[in-house]
Amino acid sequence: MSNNHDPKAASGQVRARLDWFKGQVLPHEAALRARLRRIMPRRADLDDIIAEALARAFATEDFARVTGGRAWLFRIARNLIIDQARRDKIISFEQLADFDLIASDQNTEARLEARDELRRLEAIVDTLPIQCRRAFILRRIYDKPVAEIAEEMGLSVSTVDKHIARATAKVMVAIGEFEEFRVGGSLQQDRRAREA
Amino acid sequence: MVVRYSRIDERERLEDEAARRFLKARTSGTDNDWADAYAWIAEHPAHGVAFAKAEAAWEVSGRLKEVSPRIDPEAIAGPAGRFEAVVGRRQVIAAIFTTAFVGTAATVAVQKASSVVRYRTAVGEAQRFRLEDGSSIFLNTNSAVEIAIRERSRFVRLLRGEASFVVAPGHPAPLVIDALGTRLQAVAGGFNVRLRPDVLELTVVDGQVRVAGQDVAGDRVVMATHGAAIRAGSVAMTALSDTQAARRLAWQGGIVEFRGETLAQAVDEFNRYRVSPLVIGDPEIASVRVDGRFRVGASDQFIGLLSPGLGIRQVVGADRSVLLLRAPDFAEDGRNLTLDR
Repeated sequence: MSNNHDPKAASGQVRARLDWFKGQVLPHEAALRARLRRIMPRRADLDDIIAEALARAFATEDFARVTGGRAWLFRIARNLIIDQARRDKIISFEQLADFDLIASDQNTEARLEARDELRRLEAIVDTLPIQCRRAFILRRIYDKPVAEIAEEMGLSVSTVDKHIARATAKVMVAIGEFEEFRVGGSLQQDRRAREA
Repeated sequence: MVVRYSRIDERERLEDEAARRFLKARTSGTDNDWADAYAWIAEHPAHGVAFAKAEAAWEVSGRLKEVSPRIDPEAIAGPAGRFEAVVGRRQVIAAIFTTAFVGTAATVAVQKASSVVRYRTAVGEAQRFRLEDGSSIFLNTNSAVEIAIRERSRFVRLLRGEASFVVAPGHPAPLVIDALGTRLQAVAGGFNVRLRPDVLELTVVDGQVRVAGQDVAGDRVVMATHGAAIRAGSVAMTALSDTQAARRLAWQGGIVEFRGETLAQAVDEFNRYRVSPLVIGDPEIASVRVDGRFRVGASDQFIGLLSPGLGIRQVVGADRSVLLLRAPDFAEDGRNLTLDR
């Protein structure tokens, strides 16, 4: 494709893909994890399947046409599990049937209130090590420049950068980990707000 | 399988890397940095997943701003953070425990953190806290501690301000206090620790406190009725008279006491308890000596007494700070002031 030779157009494509993935797929990771946990008790298996499913969803060739992100992600995961079940016998086909039943029911969980999400977010950030938390709060909530935070905390700019990256990574993990932590909710709201 | 990042530590490294790249591009905002990030994403779908998550984490954590207007920005200046103030510790812990876990890295962090207790006091506030092992901590104004009492250890970190400790005996481990890198240990007894701007001030009332030195031979023991000034590993001990010791602990009764301190020192002391500071606007009055006992919150009264006594006038600024200046018709120097009430 000619797009690959034009860096601007290539960047635009990656941007569009990221936005699609954030809006359509990422909000359903925690739900997928919750479903899979019932049939895959081993943590390492679960993580591998989810990482693989997310990576494949991200690589979806014709992503712009996929509007039902949840069904798409669940289908990818299901196919992966079938492959694995054939090969490694990690789970039985009876369990897979359970997974299908659960996956088809999109409204099993009640939506959490936006304030619950906020509360969970606070709980996650509260578990960060002190300096990491402080750097992150000053940067994210009070929008202070990194140089200023470094000065105030008596740390180097690169250390503050590291703290902020670490804190961001922690929140990233939480998004996929906590089933009730409906980060996707606010992501979708953001999206709606932008589109409106 | 497409995934190269199947192992947990590799995934963690990938998450860190994605967060770092995202933050770099977002901070600079230049086309170049974004192009770098997009090129990295194009290398592998797993990079894209991690990058999208980093963006999502950043966007989502912006929601924390919704609760920030309720908080004085000063409240987060302390390392203990502001979450205690907003949510209340009990709520945070409840939120942690109502979340279902399987053993994960995040869970371990949560559980570790949940058994660390943080206490803080606002400016002008003082409060006593009882610990699980029967010890107690009395926090003076604008102070913060983190506490971890375990079966075989007890640990307190003094993050800022001043705290009095009463250490309960009978625990298998001594109470270890970390105060900005200085390590104090006590098996039992009572003592006061104050973080001054350049020095750590220790006052031992009862029992003894071991101060860990920089090297193995360096441990020093501070006995009851002694004070110590600790800085950069050196420990200077002095015996304290009863009245000297009592003055150092007078804050527990809400009192500050001056015996010949300079006005500059008195102003510093009062400012610990004030949100809007007293400011000496004329260097000539800074060295005036002051005697007297005051309630910690009664600095306005203190200023009121200064004015007629020394010819010092006050100007209140828009931020409610109080500028202290020499009254124009008052030219004498070297007057001392006794203001007992």
